[in-house]
Order: sequence, then structure tokens, then C-alpha cells
Amino acid sequence: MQIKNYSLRYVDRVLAQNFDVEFSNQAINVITGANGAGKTTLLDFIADVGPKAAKGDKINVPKQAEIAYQLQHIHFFTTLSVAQTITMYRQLGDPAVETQNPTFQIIKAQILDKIWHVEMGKLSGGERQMVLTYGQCLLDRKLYIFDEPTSGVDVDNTKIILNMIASLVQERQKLVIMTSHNLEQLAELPVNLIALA
Amino acid sequence: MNDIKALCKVYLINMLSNKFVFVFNLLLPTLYFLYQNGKYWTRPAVTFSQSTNLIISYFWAYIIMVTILNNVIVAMIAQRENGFYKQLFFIVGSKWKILIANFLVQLAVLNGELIIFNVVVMTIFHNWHISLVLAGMLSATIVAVPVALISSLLFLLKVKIESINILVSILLFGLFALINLPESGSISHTLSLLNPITYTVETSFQTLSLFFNHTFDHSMILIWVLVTIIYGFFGWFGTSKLSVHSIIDRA
Repeated sequence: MQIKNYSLRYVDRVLAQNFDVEFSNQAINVITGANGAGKTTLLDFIADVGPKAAKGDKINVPKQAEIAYQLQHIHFFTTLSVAQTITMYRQLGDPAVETQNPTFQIIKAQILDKIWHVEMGKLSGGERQMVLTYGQCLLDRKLYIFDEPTSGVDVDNTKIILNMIASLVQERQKLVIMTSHNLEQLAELPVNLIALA
Repeated sequence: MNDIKALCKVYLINMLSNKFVFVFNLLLPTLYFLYQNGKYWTRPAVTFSQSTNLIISYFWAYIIMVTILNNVIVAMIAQRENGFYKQLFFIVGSKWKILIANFLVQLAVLNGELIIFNVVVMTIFHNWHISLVLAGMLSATIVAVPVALISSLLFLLKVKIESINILVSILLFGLFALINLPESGSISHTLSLLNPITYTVETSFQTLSLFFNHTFDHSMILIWVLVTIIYGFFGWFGTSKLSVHSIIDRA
């Protein structure tokens, strides 16, 4: 999958000019860059919900319906319990992911079961990210996008979240794109770094 | 279909967590009905005549309109503004599945509200008739889609979520104020039906007349179909403009 000649201009600034990028399906594609560099806008462009100002050629980018996109800082329906949220993902996704994948079985047993009946609104930010990442991974799509999935998450939970994301590439051969500011967290994972100037 | 079923559960759980909406949708009109018609409690049974049918139609129209506006349209605008809609869109992969699931849940809620209201009506009138319940459900089912479609024009408004509830209250006040405009001829009748409150009152009244008096104004079918098509066109336009981005982001 490639993006060519990606440009993003606003009246007062140019965020990208003829930017070319090729995404790997052998590693997690990690987009890095300073605040305001346009990382989320690039993700939106890939997911076909970008601003009109974003232009570029998409090559082999899956259709919108084949993309799972986890946004940054969305707490989803706060009145739903973890069980209800995961049940929704199970019904919308592929239940075999949980039954056939040891990573998910361990996370479910050791972490999710403890908060299974807690409402999403009563979880910490890190726990919510973990539940939603778990849910996103249950979906069966060609491309998975995660916008700052470890932002504000503690070290232990960050490892769990990144393991789930890595399993998409390593065990299910999916295309994954994520943004991150913290590259040290990714040291042990197969990553394809993409720097936005 | 499974996707819509899963989403319906989510919307139902979420909606039941906010029971205050029932105060505005159901409790207020029911109390007003009791205030206006409480006198019949101590009197003999009231038969369902054209005049009682019209009164009931107005109350149904309020319940239907307010439920669809608040629970479907404004709820969707709120979800768009706080990012839930964008997140849900990429979980489900389809705008229509989200809209349909939300609508189906609210249609069920609407029918429940009308059943409760109709039980109150029958209690006050000392006239128990299953036809009233059936007519209410049929009216709601007939008008809910067209009313939701025309109301989707609100998706186009560049108004912050903090202001949308005030705007909807003003809109409701305006639409109710316009229902008693004088009509002369089929053109003014058609134009009056473009007001969704009048459209709902008229449809409810015809349904009640059919159930209780076995009468039906056949001359209005063509006008009703024409107006429904216009509602469908506006709805197609309104929903096509529903973006995942909040108005604030786009401003």
C-alpha cells in the first residue's frame, strides 16, 4: 500500500508537500512527528475522511468498509460495561480471534475479566484504551489504524496494547498503521518508522 | 443484519441510561392531557369521535416529533460532535447501519411511549379499545421514517451542540404555531403537510378515523404520497451530508 504526492496545505501553513510513503505488511507502520505535524490528518486521509485540503494518490488502499480505525481519546459509550462493549465487537467481528489466539485469551483472563462488569466510563484512560484496542482487534478488516493508542497509558498496559497490535501483523498478516510519540516503547516490535516532518 | 442487531443493543443500553428524555417526550404531554381532560375521569365513558381523534392526533404528533428529533436526530448530531459517530462508523463500516440501528431502537421506544400514553387516554375516557393502541403503533410506524428523513436536514446546520437543543425547541414551537394556518385548496393543503407536525397529525387522524369510524379521506392519498416523496428527497440530501467530522472541526 502506498501514498504518493501527499500534500496538505492550509491558508497559513504547509504541513506536507509531495510526501511519498510505502506501508509494510510485515511490520507495524508507525507514523511519528511533532504535535501539529498532521499525523491524524494523514490517518484521516488514508481512511477517506480527510479534509478537502489533503491531496494525494492512494495505491492499494483498502476501501473504507475494510478499515478499522481507532481514534485518539474517544471514550465510546460510557454507560456500556466492558462486557457489553466487547460483546458488540464480537458480534461485529470475528469471534475466532479470541478462541484461536493465545495473546487474546491471556489478556481476557488476566485483565478484562477483572473489569468485565465495570462501565466504560468508570475505567481509567489506560483501561479504556486496552478494552477498545482489544475490541478493534476482534474486527476482521484489511487495514487497522490506531491513533496514539498508548497515549496516557502506563508501562504495563502499553506493552499489552502493543502486543495486541503486533499480533495483527505477526499472526494475522494484517496491515497496521499507528501514530506514536514514544518510540522507546516500540523497541522490541517489528516496526516501519515513517517520519512526518 | 447481525451488525444492526449488535448496534441496536448498544443504542438501547445507552438510551436507557438517560431516562430524563422520557420526561420531555412522554411525561409532559401526558400531564398536559390529564390537565385538559381530567374532567372526564368523573364522567361516563367517552366515545372516540372525530373531535377526540383530533385531540389524540395532536398529542401523538408531539410525542412522535419530539422523540424523533431528540432521540434520533439530535442524538446523532451529538454523537458526531463528540466523535462517537466517527468511532462507530469505523467499527461498523457503514453510515446506514448506524442510522438504521438508532432509528429502530427509537421506533420501539416511540411505540412504547404511545402505548403508555394511550393507556392513560383509555383510562381517563373509560373506553378501553385495542384499536387505539394499534392505530397509535401504525401511525408511528408510517410517519416515523418520513419525519426522521425531513428532520435530517438539521445535520446541515452549523450550530454547536450546546445550541442545538435550544434550536430544536424553537423549531418545535414554530412548527406547532404553524399548524393552525388557514388552508384553501390542494396547494395550500400540500404546503401545510410540509410541516412535519401537520403531516403527523393528518396521518394519525386518518388512521384513527379508519379504525374507529371506518372513514378515510381518499382525496388526500395523492397529496400525502407527494409530500412523503418530498420528505424522502430532503432526507436523502440531509443524510448524504452527514459527515464524521464535527461542525467545530470543519469551521
